[in-house]
Amino acid sequence: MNIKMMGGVEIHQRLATDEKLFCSCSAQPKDGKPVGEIVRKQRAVAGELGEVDLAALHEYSRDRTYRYQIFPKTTCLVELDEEPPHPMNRDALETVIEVCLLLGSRVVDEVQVMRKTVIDGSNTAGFQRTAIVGLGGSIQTSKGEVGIQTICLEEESSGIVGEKDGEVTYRLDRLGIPLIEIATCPDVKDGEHAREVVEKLGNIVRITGKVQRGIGTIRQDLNISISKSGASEGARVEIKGVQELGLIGKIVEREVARQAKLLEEGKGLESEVRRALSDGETEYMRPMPGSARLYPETDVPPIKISREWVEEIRKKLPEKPEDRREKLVEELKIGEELAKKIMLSKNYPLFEKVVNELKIEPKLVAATLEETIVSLRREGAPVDNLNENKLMELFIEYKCGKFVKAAIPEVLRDVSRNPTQSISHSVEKLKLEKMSEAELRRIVEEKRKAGKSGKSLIEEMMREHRLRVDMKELSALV
Amino acid sequence: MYSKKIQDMLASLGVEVGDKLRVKSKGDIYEGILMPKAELGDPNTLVIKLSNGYAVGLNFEGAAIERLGGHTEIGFKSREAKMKHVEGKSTISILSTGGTVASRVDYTTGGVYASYNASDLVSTVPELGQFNINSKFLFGIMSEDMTPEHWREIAKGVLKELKSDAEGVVVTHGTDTMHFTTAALSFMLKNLNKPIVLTGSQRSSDRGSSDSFINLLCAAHFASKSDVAEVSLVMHGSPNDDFCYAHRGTKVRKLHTSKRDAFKSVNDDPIAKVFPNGKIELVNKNYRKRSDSEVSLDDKLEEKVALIKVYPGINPEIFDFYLEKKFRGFVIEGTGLGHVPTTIEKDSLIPKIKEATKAGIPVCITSQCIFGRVHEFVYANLRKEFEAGAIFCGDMLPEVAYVKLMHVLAHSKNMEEAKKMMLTNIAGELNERTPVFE
Ligand SMILES: [Zn+2]
Repeated sequence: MNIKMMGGVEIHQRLATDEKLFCSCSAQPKDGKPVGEIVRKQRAVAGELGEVDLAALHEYSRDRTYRYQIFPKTTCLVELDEEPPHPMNRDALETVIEVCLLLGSRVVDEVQVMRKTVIDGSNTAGFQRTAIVGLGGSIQTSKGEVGIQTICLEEESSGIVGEKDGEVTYRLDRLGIPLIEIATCPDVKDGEHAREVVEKLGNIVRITGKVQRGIGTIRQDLNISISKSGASEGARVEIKGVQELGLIGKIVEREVARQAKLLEEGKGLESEVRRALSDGETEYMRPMPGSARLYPETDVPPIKISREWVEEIRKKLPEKPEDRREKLVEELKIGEELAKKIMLSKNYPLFEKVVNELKIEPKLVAATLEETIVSLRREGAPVDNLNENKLMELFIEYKCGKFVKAAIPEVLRDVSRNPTQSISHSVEKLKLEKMSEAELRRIVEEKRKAGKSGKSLIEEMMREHRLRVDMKELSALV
Repeated sequence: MYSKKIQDMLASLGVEVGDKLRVKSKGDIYEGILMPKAELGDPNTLVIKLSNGYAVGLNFEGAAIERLGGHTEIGFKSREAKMKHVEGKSTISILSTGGTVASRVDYTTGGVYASYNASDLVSTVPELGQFNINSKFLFGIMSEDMTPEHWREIAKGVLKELKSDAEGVVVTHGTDTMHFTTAALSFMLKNLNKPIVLTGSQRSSDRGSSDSFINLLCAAHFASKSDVAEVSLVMHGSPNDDFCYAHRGTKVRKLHTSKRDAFKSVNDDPIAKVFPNGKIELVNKNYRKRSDSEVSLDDKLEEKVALIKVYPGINPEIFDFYLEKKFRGFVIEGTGLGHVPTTIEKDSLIPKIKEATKAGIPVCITSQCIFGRVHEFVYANLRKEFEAGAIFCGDMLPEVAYVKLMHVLAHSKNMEEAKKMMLTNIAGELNERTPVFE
């Protein structure tokens, strides 16, 4: 049997706005204990054609009670569905337009917010707010061009906490975080290719520097159908919630095999939604929702996207991931490894600023931001206190010759623990000021008198004064 | 509405809203259904619903439009279903007057129409199948558009149902002015024999998360089996979908713009807690019981009554407008215990109160604090108001005093009689004793 796979991927990435998409709650949930909860029921309602939507009915038939946990800074009446949505967050929309431009998509002229029926309880409203911002576009891959179908801006759902005795508990802190959804055309050839496409799309959204990082901030869905030797297409199966990039290839291949087996056995293929499991297997979730699931959200006015706004965004557009990587490696002489770390990092804008404005060696800046801070975090230093201003201060003081490269980890460690302290104060306190030329000369002279010279002198100097001596200056002197 | 330019263009192409179109815009092609333009948004942007269900807005300027054939009817069509009565089931009447509870979205346009009728509601709340239901569609308006004329129509409709085999009557209503209607019905319907229950919802019934299902179900239970022969208002008792409160119709107010539990009893305990499974827990034993009494309707109202809120800087001249227009009564929402500006001569409302009173026009005092009672003696300024002839309305809500004054003025011959009626409890609107709340 000649099986042909038709695959598409969808990525969902949380955006790093200050506020949520339709309210002023913080869009950056912190761990913590809920301060309260509400209990709700939801039921299937008649859809567009007066018939209850199939997916909605399926959920309702389970007659579940939903508990929603309330968190202090990330839950207001909007998440509780006790207050209408506020106007759409402009920063989120701007980031999505940015991604549209990077992918060569057509940005719509007016964004129409829709309600997408969800009745698994993951949204207190019973629907998710979603809007198409861009259509079309493509990315280049090793197996040819992969088209983009739609680019949407939507609300994140509530996080599931647990399910017990017909009661599902959700946490509302993540409900309403802006989410970009990119869906490709069915151009994906196989499992390996799916992984590549997901990775490429992930790089595009990350290069904007305006997306959240960490576990759970990005998710993939896979759409897979197969056809037999040119015969009519099979049913589309959607696999939801793939978190691990490494599993994508396996999941796709198993799904193709599962569908092929069903076809072989002469069993019909059902269009359905399946859930990805952590071992690469999938399990049945619910029937595929019908098209009755979308209708206009009249509480949110449509948003006009003027050509001027789009051009404004285009002017500030970051380079494409491939171009940035090339620039870092070829032009700025940062090694492959470090380039990979900094190019999609949230620190990239700071890196660029420091390199351009202070003309500090790019490799040092990248290593400080991507390696030094990471290892300080590992040893338990509160590096979240090192905000952009503090780091800028560090590089300025370094540029002014206050201290040497080797002292950077010491200074950062100290400042992270005493965030109100200035960098120079910390340097003085730790006695890490760069050795003056006169002092350096004096000590080198003393060592010479004591019979040291050449390599052994340098070694002894570095052993005793590593954190205060600039290696280049020392070698020049010696 | 689309701009004149778009409308003309569509007309010249013979294109109507709902038609399937192909739109060429800046070299790109979009196919979908032409949607009507919402009130918000740019009138020069075409809205097209794509086959994936999403709508997008496209600049009309420079777009080429082509009809593809195929048309989707836009707008909700109600299905009137006659419901057969079954022996052994309790019978209730449901009168529909509009509001969010009766609102239904048109899934294509997203427009919300107050066009749902009672039988439509039953199809969304299958649990209502345990009742025999007499369903009547009175009208479909949002509650901000309610007038005393509508109160009369509702009262007439309710009276008819009270005289039928129904155990009780449910009226579905918009929430914003529901407490005005409950007050009006409380004064207009005399010698009540069965429960009259108003209910509504804060989220429209087309949403899976709507509060209407539980509100309606609890209202039906309360109408069917409670012993409370009063006009009550049944709405969510908490932000949860767990129970509703039945509030006395003259002691309840909407106190939140959007929450499910927006209605609270004021200066009184709610009458009962009602659960979706039909359980009723009495909270307040002070209520009128079911009986075989002969109900009557007295719907005479004097509509020239004004409800005026006091605020710093209020210009006393606004009373001149009402007096010139021959208004026959005032309800003032005073500050605190019922104050109006008194001491500074040019700002004082005392002369206006005197002038009105002298002309036989009652001036009734309530408080904008909402909770608590007014008092005519605590401060000297209050005494001045009282001496000017103002009628202090105890713990009556401003809205209730407004409706009551309309009723009273249509049933009193002179000021003295009006005053006496205002200060006499007719339908639970006045409590001598303020309960201590939790
Ligand atoms: Zn919020």
